[in-house]
Amino acid sequence: MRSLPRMALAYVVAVSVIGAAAIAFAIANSSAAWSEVAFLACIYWVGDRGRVGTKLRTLTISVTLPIALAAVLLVGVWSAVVVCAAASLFAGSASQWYKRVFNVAQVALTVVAAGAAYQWLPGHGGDNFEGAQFPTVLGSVAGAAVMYCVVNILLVAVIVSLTTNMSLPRVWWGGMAEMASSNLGYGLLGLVIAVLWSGGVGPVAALLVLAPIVIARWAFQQYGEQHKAYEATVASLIRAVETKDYYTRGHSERVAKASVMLAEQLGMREDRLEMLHYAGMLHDVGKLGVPTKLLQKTGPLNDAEFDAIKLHPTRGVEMVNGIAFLDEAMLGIRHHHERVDGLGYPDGLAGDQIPEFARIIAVADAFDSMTSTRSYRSARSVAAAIAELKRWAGTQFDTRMVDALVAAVDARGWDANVEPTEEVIDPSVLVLRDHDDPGGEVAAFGQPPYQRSPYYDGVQAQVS
Amino acid sequence: MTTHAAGSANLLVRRTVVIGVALGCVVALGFTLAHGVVRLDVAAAFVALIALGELLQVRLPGDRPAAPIAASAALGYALLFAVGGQPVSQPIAQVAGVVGVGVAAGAGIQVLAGRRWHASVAVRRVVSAVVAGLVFRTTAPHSLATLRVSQYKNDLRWVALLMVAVVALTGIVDLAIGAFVRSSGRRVAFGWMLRDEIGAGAGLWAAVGATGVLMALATPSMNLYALPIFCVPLLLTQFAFRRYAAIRTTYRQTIRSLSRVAEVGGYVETGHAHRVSSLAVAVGREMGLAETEITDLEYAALLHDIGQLSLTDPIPGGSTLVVAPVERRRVAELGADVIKTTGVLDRVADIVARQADPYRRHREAPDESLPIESRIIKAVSAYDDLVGESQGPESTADALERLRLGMAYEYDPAVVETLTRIVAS
Repeated sequence: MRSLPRMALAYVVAVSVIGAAAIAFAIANSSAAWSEVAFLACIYWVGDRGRVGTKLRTLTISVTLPIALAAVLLVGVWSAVVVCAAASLFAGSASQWYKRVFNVAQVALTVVAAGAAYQWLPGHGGDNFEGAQFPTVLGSVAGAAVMYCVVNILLVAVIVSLTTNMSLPRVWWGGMAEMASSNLGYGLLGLVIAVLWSGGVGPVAALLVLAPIVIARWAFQQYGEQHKAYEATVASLIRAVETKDYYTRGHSERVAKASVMLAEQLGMREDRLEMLHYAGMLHDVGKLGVPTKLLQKTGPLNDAEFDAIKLHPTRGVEMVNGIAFLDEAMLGIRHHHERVDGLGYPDGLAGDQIPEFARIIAVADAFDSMTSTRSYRSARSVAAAIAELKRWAGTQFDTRMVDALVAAVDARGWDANVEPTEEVIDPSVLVLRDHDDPGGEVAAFGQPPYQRSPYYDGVQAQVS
Repeated sequence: MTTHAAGSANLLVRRTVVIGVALGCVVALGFTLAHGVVRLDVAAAFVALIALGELLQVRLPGDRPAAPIAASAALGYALLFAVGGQPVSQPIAQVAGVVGVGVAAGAGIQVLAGRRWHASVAVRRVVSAVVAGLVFRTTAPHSLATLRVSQYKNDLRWVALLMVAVVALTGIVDLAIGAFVRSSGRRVAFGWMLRDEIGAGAGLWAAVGATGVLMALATPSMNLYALPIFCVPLLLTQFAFRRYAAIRTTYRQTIRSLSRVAEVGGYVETGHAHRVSSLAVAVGREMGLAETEITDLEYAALLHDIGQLSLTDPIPGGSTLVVAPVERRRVAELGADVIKTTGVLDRVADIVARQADPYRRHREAPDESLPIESRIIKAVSAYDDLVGESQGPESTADALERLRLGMAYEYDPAVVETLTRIVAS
């Protein structure tokens, strides 16, 4: 708690106090049967426990929102506040007690706001859902779902904004975009639960409506695990391939990271970022078709040898074209040695004819190559590598990509890879045409983070 | 794979089931038309929803196609007892007819669009609808048929529980049929196959069953509007399963592609890994391995020579059969080390590590700890090395003869026997 800025601390205390007051008032005014409150709280708690992200920005899976809304409709606002506050007291992933208190208060205020919207709009049946009028009540429920979303994100966005350097509108809109689309649908499900529950089906209705969502969440979890396994497998198989050449160890992973950093600077969509990541990982896989002797050669390559190396992008595509989802990545692998002036290989494409992925990977590849140690020369500094990239911008590289990489490295830094320095490097060997260096020289090393840290998880945003 | 004996027996069972159910549907439809359709509008709505659901398929692990929306709609129609406050008592023949027409319509559209359609899976939707409908009709409280609102409303929570029980039972029957069809003609215990089937399909079945029950419970009060509303959560489920299926496919394709690295590098004969894996999977299925074991077997077979990458000089011709056992074991261990670094394929690494171990040593009992997958890969890889690219009958026979000579010590006799059967047909 000591680490909290003073403004943030004041905010947490204020929200907690107001939330506590709301809960106290709710307990005093709760009119529903305790058995119903307890049952709803139990499913809310179970739903909240298994929160998972879906890895898809626009889609979040929520079990808690339908339950919260159904509670508002079925047992009235104040009992619903008791349901949600009680359940979230024991739920959530926050470790510090003040975060936990904040979350409970925040949930209570959100439910109060959603309930107030529902009661204020026409068509509701008060604390008893059987009096509700169709179809006007549909509008009220939608209004309540929107209010829930707005208040929830606002309360959390303020604390995120106060504890990080991000501006409030940015956090707010980021969160809204993420959650708004799914929320109306979940609100509708809350209504359906209420209709069936009060229509005689009873509590089983909640379980039946939530079953497909819970199972969807399970499938997303499986997807997430499988996805992680996939990434780990590709990474280690690529490392195995790289054992052929000691000096390029980690090169593929670093190129993937640098490419993603660069593309994030360009504001690329997330699904394309992922594809680009794989394209970066696999861009040199075709080198396996190149005799090891050539790859490890210390000294200038003759024309015949260089021609053999030139085949590797095409070979790489041949190797991975069985992987259906890598469509766009394939282009990146094939054309990562094209130059914007049209003098590259294998197809001699120029300017915008070169696929975007290929232009990105070309810059990332050269950058990592230059900042790494190679068998015939030592690593250059990041500044020197950037100067070199700028020198070749417009002829070998797309100027826009170079600028984006420079901006990304400025903003986030770059850990160059300088491990193999214990090897003796002969400075007298001047390689004019290493296949990865701009213009014809090489070097390499680095570690850009390919990760994003969403502030929200689940539809119910929380501080964790 | 359908060419060998077991495959054709399996095909026969599938065909019999499909034709039997299709005939049953036609008879049911004729009967229904002759006696007049109960609530044609409701029947038409369900036909449309089932047909639409047939178009939205997902693939469960083990290449099991499923159509969740069609399955839920079929169940919902079987359990339906009222629409918008009016009782609807469609006879069971009409349930079979409506589901059959819906499935056929969906299939027709798929065939016209040139997409693959799996009759043996689609007929299971008709069977489950009939099973659910029959069980529910014999157990439901009498008040439902007369629909005296004052009574049935009190009964509704029990009806809900009854429907859940009926759907659970139907799910078990459906998965059992799936297991029976998959296991028939193969040397696989039915119980083993059922467990496998439940592991792959129970999750989605729960979602499908819950949605079917909701449709039947909500149409009395919400009219037919209930149908699209309850499809929404199921669509989310379906979407999640699609993503899951997509990443599994990608994983497999990637391992397949990367298994070629040893070949492109000149370490292994071209196509070896691929041939070994498809033959090994055929042997594994024939021997009744579970779905997860089949996957491990496939990956291990694809990657079994990856250890050669760590050798400085490729073994000439790539064949690991002609080199000394010590060398073979080293390649196996190096490969296992590579695979182990993924952190997620430990079992695959284990299989690869032990692929060079003999079935049993002189005067010793067979080693129980040797994974069946390793034994399969050992025999199949040796077979492929011996046959090489020429698949002529003599070289096949020669190769099998040499494997048989090594039987009882080097190779597992059961594996060699299965392999012989598969190669012969």
